[in-house]
Amino acid sequence: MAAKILIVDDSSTIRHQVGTTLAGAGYDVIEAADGAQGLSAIDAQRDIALVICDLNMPNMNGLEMLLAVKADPRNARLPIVMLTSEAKADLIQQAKRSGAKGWVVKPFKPDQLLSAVRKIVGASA
Amino acid sequence: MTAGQQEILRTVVTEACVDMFTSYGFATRILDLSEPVEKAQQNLVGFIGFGGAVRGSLMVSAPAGLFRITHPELGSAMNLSKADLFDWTGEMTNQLLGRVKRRFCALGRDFHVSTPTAIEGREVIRRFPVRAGVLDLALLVGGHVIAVCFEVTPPADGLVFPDPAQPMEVSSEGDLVLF
Repeated sequence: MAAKILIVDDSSTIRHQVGTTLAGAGYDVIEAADGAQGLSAIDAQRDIALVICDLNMPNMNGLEMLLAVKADPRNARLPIVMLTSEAKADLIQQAKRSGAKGWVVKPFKPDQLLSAVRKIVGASA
Repeated sequence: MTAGQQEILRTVVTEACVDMFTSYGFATRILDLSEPVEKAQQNLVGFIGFGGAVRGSLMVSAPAGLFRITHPELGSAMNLSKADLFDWTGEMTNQLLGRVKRRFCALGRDFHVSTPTAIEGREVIRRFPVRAGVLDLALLVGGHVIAVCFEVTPPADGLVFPDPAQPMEVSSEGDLVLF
């Protein structure tokens, strides 16, 4: 069964770009347009293997979502990788301390992202 | 803002623009603002604000064709709708501000980024009234003229970039780290 990956980004372009990269490699991809929708998706679908999440979003930003997700003990092992145009080391360390699994500075390189995803969740099938 | 600070600002924003469009695969030429621009062709605008110790906004306006040729899904099976172009306009503006912010941080100044928006109009590079302290750039990318407008209000000490600078550590575009 293909691993399910949730993409959380307010940009449909980024959701499509990441989704195409991952779906092309055989992963099952679902989307959310902000942190609140992402949180709902994680709560409703307990088989999500990985979350790729933007930082600056309306309603609930990526760090807020990360903290809310990790506050639930059921999500302790859920890997969350931030994908954002933010690049400051302090912010990256803050995400790490809050339980993030990784950080990618936009624009991402598809092959590099795919390699990271495979390391985290394994090959698609 | 002092002349020295203005020059640093111009260099930072110009480099960020050239860097971004070059990474998209397009040669970029900085245009003299005295060169005539077909304003009627400028019809899509990306806009994003920022705040903190410094506050302001970044605006990128260009013909829709520029956003079409730079769209990351161009050439794929995806049909680019108007909604797709609007979204990419905002996202491109967001990524440009990210590059500007990285350079600001390297010079010791941080700010918080808002979320972008995009609008459609006519002659959108025209500004009334013309305001001092606004950096205007014009670039030629892929045969399209792009207008970039960067406005920043310094903190009380008047220094957009602290002097002496206290550089903050930053990653680069495309960097990926797993913890």
